[in-house]
Amino acid sequence: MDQDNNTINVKIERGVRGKEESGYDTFQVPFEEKMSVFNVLEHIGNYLDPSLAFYASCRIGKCMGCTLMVNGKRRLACTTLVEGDLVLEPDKKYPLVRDLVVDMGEY
Amino acid sequence: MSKNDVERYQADVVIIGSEGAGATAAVEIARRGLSALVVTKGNGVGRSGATITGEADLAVDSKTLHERFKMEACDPADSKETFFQDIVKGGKYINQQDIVEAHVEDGPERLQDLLNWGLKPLFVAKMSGHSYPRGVIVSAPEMIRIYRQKLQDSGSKVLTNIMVQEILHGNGQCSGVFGVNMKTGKSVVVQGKATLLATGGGMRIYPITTGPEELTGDGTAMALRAGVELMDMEFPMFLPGCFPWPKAVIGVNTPFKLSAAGMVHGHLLNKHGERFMAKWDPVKMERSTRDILAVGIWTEIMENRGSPHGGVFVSLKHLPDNLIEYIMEWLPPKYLKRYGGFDMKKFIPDLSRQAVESVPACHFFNGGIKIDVDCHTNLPGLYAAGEVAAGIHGSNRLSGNAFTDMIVWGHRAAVSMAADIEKGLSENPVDGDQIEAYGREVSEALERKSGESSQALRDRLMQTAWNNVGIVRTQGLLEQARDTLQELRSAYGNVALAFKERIYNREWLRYLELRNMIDNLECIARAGLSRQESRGAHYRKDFAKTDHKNWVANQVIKRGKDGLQITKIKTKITRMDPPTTIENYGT
Repeated sequence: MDQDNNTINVKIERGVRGKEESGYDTFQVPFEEKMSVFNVLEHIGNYLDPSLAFYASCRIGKCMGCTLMVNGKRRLACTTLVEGDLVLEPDKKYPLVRDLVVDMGEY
Repeated sequence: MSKNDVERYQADVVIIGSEGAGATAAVEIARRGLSALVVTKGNGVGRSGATITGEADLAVDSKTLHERFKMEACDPADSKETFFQDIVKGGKYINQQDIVEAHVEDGPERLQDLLNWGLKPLFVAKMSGHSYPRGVIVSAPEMIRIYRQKLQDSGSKVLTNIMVQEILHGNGQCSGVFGVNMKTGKSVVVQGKATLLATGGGMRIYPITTGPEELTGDGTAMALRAGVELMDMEFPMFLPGCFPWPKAVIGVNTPFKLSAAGMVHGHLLNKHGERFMAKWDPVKMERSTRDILAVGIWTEIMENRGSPHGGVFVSLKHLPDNLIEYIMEWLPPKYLKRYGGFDMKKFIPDLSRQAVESVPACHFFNGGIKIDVDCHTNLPGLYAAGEVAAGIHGSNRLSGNAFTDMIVWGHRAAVSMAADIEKGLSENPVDGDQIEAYGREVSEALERKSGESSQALRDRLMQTAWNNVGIVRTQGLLEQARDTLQELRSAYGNVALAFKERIYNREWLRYLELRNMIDNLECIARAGLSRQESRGAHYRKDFAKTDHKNWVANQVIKRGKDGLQITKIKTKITRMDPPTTIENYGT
């Protein structure tokens, strides 16, 4: 984390079905106490790079739809609090749709 | 658009929405030997919708719970009649009473289904607004697990990540739906003899909500565009006690649990330290009903007596330290410390020293698509069930009735659709030109080279919802909203998306949602403007009385050639006469 201007670096793996693992992009995101990985993704998707794809629904750790890899570990974006820089990757257990969105199937 | 760009699906019954009401309907349709195709915006069953978010109680009259289900802590002095009366009183007399009768009657049968399928209720509780213990507490994830299993067993196909955008219709009959498959970026046409909307509410129009991400009022908006009648749209209800901050837990209801809801008597304070509920309900104070609490809290916020993050304060500091410690000990472990997947210890300060901030969050849409007791809309072949439908709750829903709503009405819709198919309801050919036109329409903003930002419009819409069409309304605020919405609508027609690809383009998805959000908010604002009184979830500072003399009535909204047409109709009364006086709000 860059302590001086209070931003974090967020490195996200990009890709789309048929062109998986197209490399990483890094974003600088303003840090707030007790923000979640989902809040970070929302900020990037809404205001920095609208092409970023991610999925979330309940935001309270129940639907499991926002499962992804956070710094190499399988986590939920909504209930994982941000403590510093992040590396975000899709859950490779499922086929990739785009970026962090995977096809989890019907059920 | 060439024919190959359209994915086509077909079934006897098309169901939009995969959770509570939709899943219930699909299971019953399959049981009756018909094919059901479930279409969801979500990334799979259980990964969207409000059902999974419920902290859930399911309301059934206490007598039946006691006598038929042998549940503990229930009271045989209750009856279906008393339950009916509580619902109508809670809805402030504008519930459709024939619909409430069916709701009360069918509840036990649907609870029986769930028990047969393996649901294990935790306990029964008396919830606010109910005269007896009727809240059968169930685990929402457990219900979802059961729905998943039943849907799989029923052989129903589920299409995921589909943004359904329009209802296909011609010759006065529904043919199915049109949408976009986000996974492929292609147009989707789903045809059936009967189509059910079970898409839930539109709470996401408001920036602070307990609802999930995707609930943007899609069902009501597409229905409106297809000429279908909506009703009671002025009544989105708010839960008076959610975190406005920190970011990760915005909308989580811990402050409500510490004040109005339950077992702990916290004080609601404004920035002066004043217990402001004394101005609204000097007897019950923080124990007042949810609608009055919401109005009380909102007034403090509006009049600049709120907390730093846009709420008010909930404090336990009037209690001795050792009592607060003891409360934390005897409260059920999950009550405060867990919320969904959150470890709330990280967000709750030492309550002997600090207050928490609290704001009302949009929680439920009482209004929606106008239905009859068999879930028919005014468009033959189109049905609605669950939160997307109007009529059961009137102007204010009782606790537990959201879950009863989805199981009772999902099932009733299935029975009704099956009966109509049996009687000869058949497929209505899909109009190719309509598909072509919708295909062009959804792609416009992808093709436009420069124009408005969809996100900027979405932000402005949500601000307008919060500031102008929130809990405390006035003619001035609502007129301003109506004008802003006109501007937003014309700007919407000029949106150019920055990202042009079609496969899971989140900007595109949110742009499609935005149209629905605009349509919904316009209905809420316009219906709010013409209802010149205060009732349930609709409070007008400039018309602060509840006017039973003139307003035991519902407002039906339909899109005409010159915009929205609002018609005031008499509420359907079957057996409980409403008062005829003009009363203070909340009494």
